[in-house]
This record gives sequence, structure tokens and C-alpha cells, in this order.
Amino acid sequence: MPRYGMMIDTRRCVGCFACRLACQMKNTLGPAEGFVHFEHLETGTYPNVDAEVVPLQCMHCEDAPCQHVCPTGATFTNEDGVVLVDESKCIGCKYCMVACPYGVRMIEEKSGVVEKCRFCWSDELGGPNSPSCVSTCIANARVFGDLDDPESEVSKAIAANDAKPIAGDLTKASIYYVR
Amino acid sequence: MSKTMTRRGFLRTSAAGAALAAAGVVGYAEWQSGRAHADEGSAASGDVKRVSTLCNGCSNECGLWVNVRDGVIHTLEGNPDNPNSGGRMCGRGHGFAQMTYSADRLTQPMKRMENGEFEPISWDDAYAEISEKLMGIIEKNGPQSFAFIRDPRPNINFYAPRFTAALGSANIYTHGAACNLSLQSAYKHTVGGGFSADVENAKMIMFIGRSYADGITPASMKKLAELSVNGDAKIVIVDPRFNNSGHLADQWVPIRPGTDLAMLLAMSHVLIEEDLYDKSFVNDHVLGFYAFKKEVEQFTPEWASEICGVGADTIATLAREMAQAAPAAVIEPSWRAAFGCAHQNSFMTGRAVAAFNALLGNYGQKGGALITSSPSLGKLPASKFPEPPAAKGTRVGNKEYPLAVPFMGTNLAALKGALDGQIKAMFFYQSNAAKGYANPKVWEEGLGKCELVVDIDVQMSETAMLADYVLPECSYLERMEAVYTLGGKKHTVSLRDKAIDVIHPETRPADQIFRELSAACGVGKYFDFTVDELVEAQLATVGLTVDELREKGIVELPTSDFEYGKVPEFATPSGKIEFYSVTIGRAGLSPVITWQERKARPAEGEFYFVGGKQSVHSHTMTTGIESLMNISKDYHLERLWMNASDAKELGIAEGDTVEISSSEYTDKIDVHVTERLMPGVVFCPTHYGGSSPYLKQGYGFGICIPNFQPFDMEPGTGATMSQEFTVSIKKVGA
Amino acid sequence: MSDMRQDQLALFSALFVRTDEATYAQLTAPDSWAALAARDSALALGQPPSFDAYRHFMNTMLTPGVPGALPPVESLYKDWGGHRAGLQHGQGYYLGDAAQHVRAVCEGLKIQVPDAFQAMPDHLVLLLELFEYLRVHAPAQDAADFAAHHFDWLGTYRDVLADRAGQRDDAALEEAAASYGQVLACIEEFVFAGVREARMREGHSLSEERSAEEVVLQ
Repeated sequence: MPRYGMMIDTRRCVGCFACRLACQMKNTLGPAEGFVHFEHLETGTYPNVDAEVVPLQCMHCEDAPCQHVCPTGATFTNEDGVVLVDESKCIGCKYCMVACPYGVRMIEEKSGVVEKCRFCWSDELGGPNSPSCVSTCIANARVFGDLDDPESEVSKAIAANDAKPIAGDLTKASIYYVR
Repeated sequence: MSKTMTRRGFLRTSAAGAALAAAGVVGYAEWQSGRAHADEGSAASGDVKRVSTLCNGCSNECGLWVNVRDGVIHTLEGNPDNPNSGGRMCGRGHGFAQMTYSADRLTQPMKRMENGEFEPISWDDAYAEISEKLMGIIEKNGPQSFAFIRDPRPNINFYAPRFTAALGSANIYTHGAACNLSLQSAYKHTVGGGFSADVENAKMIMFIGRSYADGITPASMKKLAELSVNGDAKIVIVDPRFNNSGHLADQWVPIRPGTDLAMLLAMSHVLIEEDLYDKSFVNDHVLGFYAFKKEVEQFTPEWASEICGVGADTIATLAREMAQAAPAAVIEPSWRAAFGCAHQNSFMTGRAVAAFNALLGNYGQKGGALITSSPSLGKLPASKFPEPPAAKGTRVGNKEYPLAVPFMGTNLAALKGALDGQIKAMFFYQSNAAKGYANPKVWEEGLGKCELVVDIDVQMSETAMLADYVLPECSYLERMEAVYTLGGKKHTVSLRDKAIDVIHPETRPADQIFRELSAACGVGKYFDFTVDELVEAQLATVGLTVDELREKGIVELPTSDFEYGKVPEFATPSGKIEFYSVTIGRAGLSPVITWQERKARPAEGEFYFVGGKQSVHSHTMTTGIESLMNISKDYHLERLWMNASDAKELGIAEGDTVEISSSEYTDKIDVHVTERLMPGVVFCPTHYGGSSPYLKQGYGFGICIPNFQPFDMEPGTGATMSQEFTVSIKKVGA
Repeated sequence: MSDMRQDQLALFSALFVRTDEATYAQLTAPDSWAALAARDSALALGQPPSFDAYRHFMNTMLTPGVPGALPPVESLYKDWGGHRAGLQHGQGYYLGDAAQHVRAVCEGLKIQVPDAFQAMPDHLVLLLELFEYLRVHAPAQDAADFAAHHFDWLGTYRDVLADRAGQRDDAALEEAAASYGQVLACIEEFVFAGVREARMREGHSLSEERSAEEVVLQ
């Protein structure tokens, strides 16, 4: 079984929003909705400044707080380590939104389901269908693949760059950041 | 009993259908579940049509694959073989496709009535009325009373000049005067044409005002990111603002707007003074070096520092570092940004950039400035595609602005012509001149004086609102266009193709509009072919067929003669890089590259103003796209940037509203307080401030920058000088 | 009954699809205008807009492409593609699910969508014609189903028309918008009445007091 994960390199990210747009289309989100959020961090004082953009989305935590608090089991982790939402079970109680330390759960207006990034999971394909945030990224700031396969592009990139989850060991996140 | 109606409905129904009505074809729920089943089947079997085409979200013409499901656009992906997209796609590219089905689209030709309202008109009537008026104007005032302005994309670059020439007018313009006319003209007169920076191989690269992250070409962005992360190259951003590429740079050099020239001259001074320039290259390939050398003796780093605000040491060090890294060091040529059309010294700034690169001896070198060729299609058979004779007159503006690069011309000369009665008829193709090319008030006045204004567009732009006739084109995903050739290290051809059928039956592609309109004007013989025939003939000249191109989306031609290390030919009168230009001297400007002030300078308490692009928008044409405007709104992208120390002095906090005034205009805008901007300067994006209160997205959000700009033109080129004004800022309620 | 419905339909068409002055005058003659209100409706219609007011309203409020206009096309006021949308989700787009369903219905019934309406088979006027066709020829349940799914946006539409007209500081426009609001109420009534009639034709008893909405949504 693969265990899917991603590496995001904020040294490359320029906050162009392409991932948000591509994701909206692929996941049929509304024009005001997005699975990807952006933190704009400005540091220093003029003229010694830096500006980092940190894209945030579901971290697909191994120890997922949103899953723990879900009263109906709507939020679950599949065999491939991808945290998904069973729409038919979601009652829209928003516990998960409160529990998520990354603030990346989102109410989908059309359905009322509290959704999130699903690594473009496709039931038909039985796997991720080429995550669009990765394939569209103009700065090549994202790498996706199997974290358990040391030969995968993502594993190699994480090792080479010493990438770390954004909040350390907090939730055993599957998205690693290079900053 | 019905007294009045002998009604014929729109639907033609039949008795045969009635029988079917019983067979359960109406139910909505059944229909939906039927589709859901079809979807499940299609995802596995890949039952989605993929069409190769070109994006139209900006002028990069990135290659795309469009996924079409049941005849409807579903998703889009970058074509990996395309040199501009590099297989990626930016946000505005995704977003712009939403225009295809938008309620904002024009669906039928429109005519402005006497009361100012628009009413639909049939194509035939529109053609008849336009041609009658246009031919009447030409008969009375001569063909030079007609002007055509376009946003220069490949297809219209074929049709508009042809149409204008067929009518005997030389007045064909691009939007260049409000884009990169100054620097393109500077490069033409200095090195013979445009050049590019060999980003991926550079050891040191300097961007002046230009930000790949804000004005995106996906492949360039990717190269810069690679260079930043993997390379040992030094990336320098010279900009009053720590722009969104800043995070990728090694050094930010804040500089006063419109004074880049001072820094460039001082850097040249250092190279020459310290003997760090490439003497052999200069000897062989530069004309006027000694005149330049003498000129820049006075331009010391200390002198420049006073003007531009960059420390003298910083200037000298940057020059030395560039020389050290040369020839794999380059000043990137830029686009609109800081000296595309911004100031009265933008042309001179462009010359200084080209000259500094020459001092580095980097032309044609790996990591340097590349002058590459473009593929040319062969000649089309004259029997089918007869060329109209060249117009006899001289383009309006050429005399006063002889340095403007001929492909562009200055469209503001046409505006002036309209104001003084010389131009009576003006046509536009997808160019929102009245909103962005100069002060909108002046455009409104100029177009008001014309006897005929015709606009071809997809949506009702501010310019369309001032037109007498608006002819609706179908969107870029619904039309095929003339072949697109792209030069560079590689030569390629690609094609904008129909991904879906025409949606609104009364919209037409440009080729059809020109064919029909030219026939109505009596010059139909120059347009007696369909776009399919044109593309077929164009491709035949390079031995390709439409099917081959469709299959791959892009085809590389073997015609590029590029090789690293070979000094390119400089298409200047002397065949050399001209630090001294007789042509420029004749135009009344300094023949040698030298210092020139910017025009507007802030009085006590006033601010310099800098405008700029953002990654999610193209000009003003994307501000109707809801998903893009939501980003602008969510992240407050419309705000006016101000340095924290200035804000503190004025008592302004993040999100406060201020009144901003120039000599021309006053408006209100919220402020973003930041350390990422030079004190004494404010920055604002150039996309917002929609003037129609009825547009659902743009109105009341942000400010329209051209409103603040006095109507003026750069000497020599006629560029719009988009940033030659200063502003005063007052906190609202203070 | 049938003749009267034809008259009403003709008037609706004239009001929502551009009509010349002579036809407009004919259709809005006092008798015709009075007949607009459904028989059992309590609506007070007032005077029809003058031709100039109608034209002004048509030009500024109903013509596609004019900034701020609100063409009477169902897709524009509904979510575009439900769960199938790739390109966009949300409102303000042609050829959404509403239009695709109408197309499918027309195909099923071998009814050709006229060329001019290819991009808007869910134009109010076509919806009304199709509904009338179903009312006469199809089982009552089909007419009711069609009505429930394709006329549920009229309330929203009435509101946005009034709002938008109100934004323009134009008394004539506001007055016309008020008339159009009443006409849209008549259209809803026209549809409800149509469903009732279809059900009665099939022998349903409507003696028990039920609202028109319930009948439609049944």
C-alpha cells in the first residue's frame, strides 16, 4: 500500500494562486471556495525584508484531529493514507473545522459538507488522479507521491531538502515543507 | 376567444414528439442520474475529448490541452512541449477560460442609438452601415482618416494590418504605447531588436522592475525558481517594491521610481573606469563607445546615489559583480514594468540596459543576452491570398514619434488625431484603450469626436461602451486562428484551435468578420479565404499539415540557427550596438546614451507612484472573472501599498481608507502597510477600478490608475508615460 | 381556456424577446393586458409599460452583453453544473445544467431548439412554450416535474431585476421593473394554473384545498 504525501517548497512558491484555480476546477468548488489557502509572511524591516508565501491545505495527518472528533465517521483515512470525507455521513457539525490545527477544513456551499483537499482522490481510478495543484504549479514548488517508497520523487525530494511537516510532529502530517 | 393573437411560437413541435412525451424523457431526476452513470463510465474509459490550443489569458500564447466533456469545457492543462507554458498553467489562464460561458459575454452585434443605449443589430445591417459610413469618411477625408488599434495577438496581426492596408490607410497600431513601446524601441535602435535573458544559465541576473511572479510566463517562472533554489547564481531585483519575485532573489535593491537610468549609467561608469568591461567585444561590436565613455565620466556612483537613492557602494559592487560573472551575467530585458512606457526617460533607460549588457560582452553567450531568430512562414500563394498594396500615406504619429518601433507605432497619436479632427474613424480589436492606454477622459473625448468607432470584442469593455458598433467575437476556445510561430533558441509553430463549437450563434470569429466586412467595403478580394484555408496554406509553407499539428499541439521547426557563443547580428543601421545613434539624434534626442530626468517629481509631502501587474489578472480584461476577483478580494490585492514609516507619520494603519490625488483625479482606496516598499513611494496594482456600477465584479473595488495620469507622450516614441505623476495621500476622516 | 393561454404566452414572449412597436402595441392593448392575469389570480397589473419604457428596459436590463443586464435565462441564476462542473461552479454562466436538461428534453421530444436560442434553450420564453407543449401533450406529472425544476428561479429573478433597476437612479426603469415584476408573478400563476389544468384533465381531484405550489411540486 502506498502512503501518499507531498512536499511543498516555499523557496519556490511566489503565491500566484494557480493551484487554487486548478483545484477549484478539478474539485468543482465555487468561485469563492478553495482547498488551498495562503499565508503571506512578511519579515524584517525596510530594506532588509523577506516575504514568504506558505500554501496550506489538508495535511493528511496520520494522527488526524478532524477524524478523531468526527461524530459520524464521515472523516476517515483510506488505506493509502489519504484523509477523505464520506459526504453521505457528514452532518455539517463543524467539529472538524474547530479541531484542525491548520484551519483547512471548509464548508462546501453546494452540499453543506465540510470538505478539504483529497489529493485529487478518484474512486474510479482507486488512487489520486494527478493532483492538479502539483501539475499546474508554475514554479515546480510541489512534489507528490508515495512516502513509503524511498525511490519515489517525493521521498527523494524530502530527504534531499530535509523537508519537515509545518508543525513538526504535531499531527504526523503527510505534507512536508522546505522553507 | 382569441381576438388578437395569430401567434407563432419559437419552438417547432410535432405530433410525433407528443407520443414520446409519454416515454419519460422529461424527468429531471432521471436525467441527472442518467448522467451520473455516464460519468462513471467515462472516468475509467477516458471518454473526454482532448483538444490542443493556445491560452488567451495574456499575450504569452501558452500551449494548452483542453479537456472537453459532452461538448463543454471541463478542465485545462499546460502542454509540456510548449516553450512558454512548460507544461504548467497559471491562475489567470485557468480563470480566463470561465469567460467562455459567462453572462458578461456579448452574444450579438450591437449598435449605439442616439440616446446612448445599445440595441442589437443584424450582422448584415451592421456590415452595411459600417461600410457605408467608413467608405463615406474615406471618400471625403482620404484613407488616412481611418485608424485601427489592436492588442497584437498572432491572428489579428494577420488580419488587422491587411484590412487597414486594403482600405489604403497606414494607421495601424498595437497597444504598445501603453505596454513596452519605450524599451522595444530602445532595443531596436541600440541592438537591432528585442533580446531575452538566458535565465537558466546565468551566474548573475538583474531584474529592473520586472517580476516573473507578477507578470507570469510559466516556463520563465519555473526557470527562475530552479535558478534560485539549485543554482549558485545571484539574482538581483531592482525595484522600489520588494515584488513577489523578491523571495527568490539574493538581493533587493530599492530604487526611486523612474531613476533606474542613473544607476545604469553609474554602473557603466564603474565598468569603464575600472576597466572591467569586455574590451574585445566592445571594439568589435559597439559604435560610439568613446562618446559614451566620455559622457559617463560624470556619472559616478555618488552622483547616481543622490538621484536614485541606491547607495554608491551598492551600485559599484553590483557593477563589479556583474563584470565578474560576465559573460554569464545579464540585465533582463523586462516588459512593461519600470521602463516599458512609464516615464519620459524610459526609452533612454532601455538603451542603457542594452548598453550595459554590451559592456559585459554577453550577447549570444551562455547565461547572457540572447538575440534569437523567429521562424518565418513561407509566402502564401498570391492567387488565393493576394496582398493589398502598401498604403501610400505615412502613419499618423510617425513624423512626431519616429523612434517608435514600426510594428507598434503609437496609438496615442491616433487619439491625438481624433482630437484634432484628422482621424474620423477608429476600429479596435480586443484592446480596451479607453480604460488603460491613457487617461480615460481623453479617450472619451477623442472617440466622441470620431464619426465612426467600431470595436470587436468578446465582452462589453469600456472602449466598446464608447463605440458606435460592437461586433462580438466568439471566445478563444471556440475559434481557430492563423498559425502562431515562436522564435527563440528553438523555433516552433502552434495553433489556436476550436475546442468547442460556437456557443452564441450570433458571435463570429475574427477571420469571418474581416472576410465579411471587407466584402462590404469593396475590398473582399484580399480576404477571400477561410481561416482553415489560411492555416493549411501557412503550414504547407513549412511542410506541415493541420492534422500533424493538432496531434502534438506544437511542432518544432529545424530552422533555428541559434548556438551559444556566437555573437548575433545586430540589425541596426551600422550593424553594431549603437551607443551613439544618428537616427536618435535626428529625432531630437541625445544621440549618445546619457542622463535624462523623469518628468514629474514629488513636491514636499507628495509620493512617487508605481503601478504594477498581479499574477491573477491580465490588464483589465479578467476583472469580470469571479474566481479571480474572489482571490483579489480575499487577499485584499487592490490595496495601495505604503511603507510602514510613512504610514505611521500619516497615522495610517492596515486597511485604513485614504484619499489619493494627482493633478488629474482623486479617489479613495484602502492601504496595505508594509516594509516591502521604499519610503516616499506608493504602489497600486493596475487592474482594478471598474467604472461601470453595473458590472457584478469590478465596480467599487480598487482604483483605476490611468485616471490619475495626465495625457502626455514620451518624446521620440510616443509612449503613454504611465507613471509620470505624483500623488498626495490623506487619511479619510483624519 | 386554451386560447387565453395562447394570448398570455404571446404577451410573455413579446415582453421578454425583442418585439417591434406595432406588435407590442397590439399585444399590450387594454384587453390583452387585462387577460394577462390568470383567471383566478388576484393580481392587479396596472398599465403596461409604454413602448419607449419597454424598449428602455429591454436595452438596459434584458439584453445579453450589456453591462449589468439580466437576461431571462435560467442557467444564469442557478448553479452551473452541480457536481459535474469542471470549469466553473457558481452562477452567472450560460448552458448550465438547466439548459442541458432542456436540450435533452427537446431532443427526446424531437423538438428543435431554434438557432437563435442555441446558447439559451432555457430562455424564459422557450421554457414557457415547452411547458405549454407538455401541459397539452404529456402526462400531467411530466408537466409538473418540468415546472418544478425550471420555474423555481423566477422569484429570485424578480428580486434581482428590481434590485438592479433600483441601483440606476432611473425612475422610468424602476417603473418598468415593477411592471415586469408583476408579469413574472403572472407567469408563475400561468404555470401553476397549467399544472392544475393538466392534473384535472387526468381526473385528479383538486377539491381538497391545496396551494398551487404544492400542486406543482407534487
